[in-house]
Amino acid sequence: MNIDIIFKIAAVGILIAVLNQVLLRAGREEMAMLTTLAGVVVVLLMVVNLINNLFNSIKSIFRLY
Amino acid sequence: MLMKIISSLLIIICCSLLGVHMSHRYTQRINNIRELRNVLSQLETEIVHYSTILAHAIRKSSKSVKGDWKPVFDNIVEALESRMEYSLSEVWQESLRSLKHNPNIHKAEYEIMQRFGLQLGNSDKISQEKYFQLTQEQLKIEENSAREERLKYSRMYYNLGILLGLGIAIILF
Repeated sequence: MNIDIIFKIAAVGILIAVLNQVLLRAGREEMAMLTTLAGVVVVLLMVVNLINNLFNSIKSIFRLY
Repeated sequence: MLMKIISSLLIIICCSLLGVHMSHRYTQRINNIRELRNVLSQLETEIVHYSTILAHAIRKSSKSVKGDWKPVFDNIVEALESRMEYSLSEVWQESLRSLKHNPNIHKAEYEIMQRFGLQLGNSDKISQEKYFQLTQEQLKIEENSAREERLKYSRMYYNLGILLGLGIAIILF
């Protein structure tokens, strides 16, 4: 398991937080909301493989198939 | 690894420059409006006080103009002095059209100048003076709103460019 992805997600999180603040300060609430959403989607895309692995492991451990 | 770092830096620099360019537009718009007001006040002096011929008046007052309006005035003067079969308002509209999609000039001042062109040179001195004052007043309002916008958005675009570059670099890393 690669530890890099955790740092990557943390970096994206910090970045989105700063971006959110910048946009809020400029009075563009809807854009801020949109960037937050985009950040969530990007992180989800990053971890979707890992979640898939997790489900597969659970399935194989409990013999659910 | 080195290649990765260099390309990430390149992405960040490019996006930052994009942000700087976007935030520079707001300053440029204010400069353009200020230049325009200078030209109009000079033109007003030429017309109302010296009664200069319109082509000469426009050429004299637009001599020192800088920025995006310069080609427009040059074009108008050239068309008027070559004495083709145009009226001033036709020449004016034709020349203004080149600025329609200029990002440094907003629709508001574009339309103010368009309306101004229709009135220039077709009434007596007193009403011309009134038109000049009206246009100056409208441009002043636009200048103030441009200042407010710059205060609000210039910094935002600057930060947005840097952060966007960082974001792309992190996601691709």
